[in-house]
Amino acid sequence: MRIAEINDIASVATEIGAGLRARGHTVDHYYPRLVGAKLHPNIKPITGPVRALDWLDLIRRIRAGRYDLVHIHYAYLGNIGALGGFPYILHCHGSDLREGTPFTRPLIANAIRQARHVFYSTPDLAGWVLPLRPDAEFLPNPVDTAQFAPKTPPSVHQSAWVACALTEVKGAGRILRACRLLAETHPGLRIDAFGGGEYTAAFRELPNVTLYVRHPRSRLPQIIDEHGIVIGQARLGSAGMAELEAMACGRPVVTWFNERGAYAEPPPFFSAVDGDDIARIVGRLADDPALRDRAGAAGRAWVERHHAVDRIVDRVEAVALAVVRGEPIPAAPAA
Amino acid sequence: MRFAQVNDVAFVATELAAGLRARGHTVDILRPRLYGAKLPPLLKLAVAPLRLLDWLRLAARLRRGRYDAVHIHYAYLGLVGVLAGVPYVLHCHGDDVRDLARRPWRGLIRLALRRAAHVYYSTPDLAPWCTAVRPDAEFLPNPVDTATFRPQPLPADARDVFIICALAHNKGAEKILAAVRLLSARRPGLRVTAIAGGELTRQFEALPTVVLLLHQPRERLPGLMARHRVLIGQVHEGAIGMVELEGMACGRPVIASFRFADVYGVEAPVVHAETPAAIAAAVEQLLDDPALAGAVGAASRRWVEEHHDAAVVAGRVEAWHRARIDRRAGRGSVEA
Repeated sequence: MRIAEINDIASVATEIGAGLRARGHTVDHYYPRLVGAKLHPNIKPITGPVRALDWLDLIRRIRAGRYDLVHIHYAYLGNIGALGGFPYILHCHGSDLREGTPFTRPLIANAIRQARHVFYSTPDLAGWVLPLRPDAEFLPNPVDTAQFAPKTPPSVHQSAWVACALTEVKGAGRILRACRLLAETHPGLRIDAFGGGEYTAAFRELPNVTLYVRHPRSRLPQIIDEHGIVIGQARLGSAGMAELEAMACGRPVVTWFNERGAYAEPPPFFSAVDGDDIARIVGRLADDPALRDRAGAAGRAWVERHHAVDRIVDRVEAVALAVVRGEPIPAAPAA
Repeated sequence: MRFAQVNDVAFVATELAAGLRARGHTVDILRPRLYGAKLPPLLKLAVAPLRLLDWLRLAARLRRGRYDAVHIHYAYLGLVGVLAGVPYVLHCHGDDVRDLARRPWRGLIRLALRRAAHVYYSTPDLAPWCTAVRPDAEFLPNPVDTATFRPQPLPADARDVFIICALAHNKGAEKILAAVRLLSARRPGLRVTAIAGGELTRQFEALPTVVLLLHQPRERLPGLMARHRVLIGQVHEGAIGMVELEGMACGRPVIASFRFADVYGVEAPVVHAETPAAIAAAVEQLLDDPALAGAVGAASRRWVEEHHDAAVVAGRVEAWHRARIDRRAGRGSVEA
């Protein structure tokens, strides 16, 4: 098949593209120009004309590429497929649905309705997608377990890594409280994080937190490996790529996970609902190196079973073949 | 005495103030508003009116405050003392006097230096610049807070190298970059930390062995230094500055350029290196020989205590001002 991957979120398109290529398919990546991406959602519409021109250019290039199928990441970008009249699979990732505005919601709904098939990458998105597309399917993110692999056991590191952005939507306020509590209960425990997000200044004030400049994704395995515990998002109730990659690195991950029914086998996250809870669990892990090693090994094994690239690419390939052949989409296997 | 410290460079005013307060003096630190500080030198002229207004505000505060001693940091800010019409000591720190080579600033800096009651410079490499205008200018070692910057145990998961200077050309960062490249090839598992900032930040970011931190509050530095086996400071000017001294006070081995043993009367126990090959070799030697690293660190701490003790430096400043006051009052000067 000739497949166009449009946009890339949390490297999901990169991983799927690499997997499809390894199976002999031709995959090209296209990156829309996200003009004004950092603007407030209510101001973004002013960039509409510039984005429309970019979309028209993308449509022209995709038509010229004569692809069998287009795989589009981020809900409203599905309109590129709708406008171009291509058969497309729409892949929703999170903020594309959660942060919709009165201006973008009709666009998102149109993109979802016109897609040949819809994937969503975290179980919490079901509530957004299923009312529009009851046949939409949870597709676990593919995790490169060769790149994200432990080099050292977590027991040798006396530090924690905050894997999520320091933003409200990720529950950074709760993580901040946890760090404050840990500064008192475990003053020797170092906590590191990437700066970025509205809570950055508050984290900078904490004596036990060191903020890094944001690094390229290729550096993440090494950075995670230098920490014994990982703290993930604390508000969405659903773990994303950052938490899964940390787990693949053999690190115990403390996050709020509230979607136990999403997988055939619940993930071995340490689920924590607020700052006190996070601090208590992180403190327990800090005091027990053997527990860190056991939990880390269990987490990596779980990611290998449920988020292996091959397994995810199998599913995308099966859906793509069905779409191209005009056959019914085969039933999804249990996540 | 009532002291005014105007401006603070590399926390020298903060440390001097702490030392003087410990000796029973009252110290106010007056901070200028450094409008456009990050602009290129010529563009800074555009903010000159704003700065002049701020200097007038500071000068008024100096006059109203009736201070016994006014100590101004950064050469051109001596003009605040000129505007206030008060006797002042001018403390030079680096680029402020190197700007004597730049035509737009030369006249102002010379005026500030000439009108000062006394001139200090904080690193020995500044002597030629300062003494060319003020032959009586004096090297005043930077005061180091050896209680805050103190040796701490090396954690089991300590990182290898911490680059403590800015990633800037005037610190020799291009030599450090080349050294880290050599080391990365020889030791792929090496773990280097640096603080983002300076023209070479992007090049360091591209190295797989380097982790870059956001700018860190100063109180975080002792803990960060303690988490590293080897520190690299400036390898360009031959004069060790505040951050290298603080690293030495933390009892960690510091690799840096040092060419002013004659000023101190003794070599500094930094590991002298000025080329990429020498820096890389020094890092490997210190990482491979923890006993040597420990010995260099311990010697460094002792050296800082001997030459840069904040209480002793504050005592020198106090003695100079006391002598001036006594001279004015017609009394004999007081020995330091």
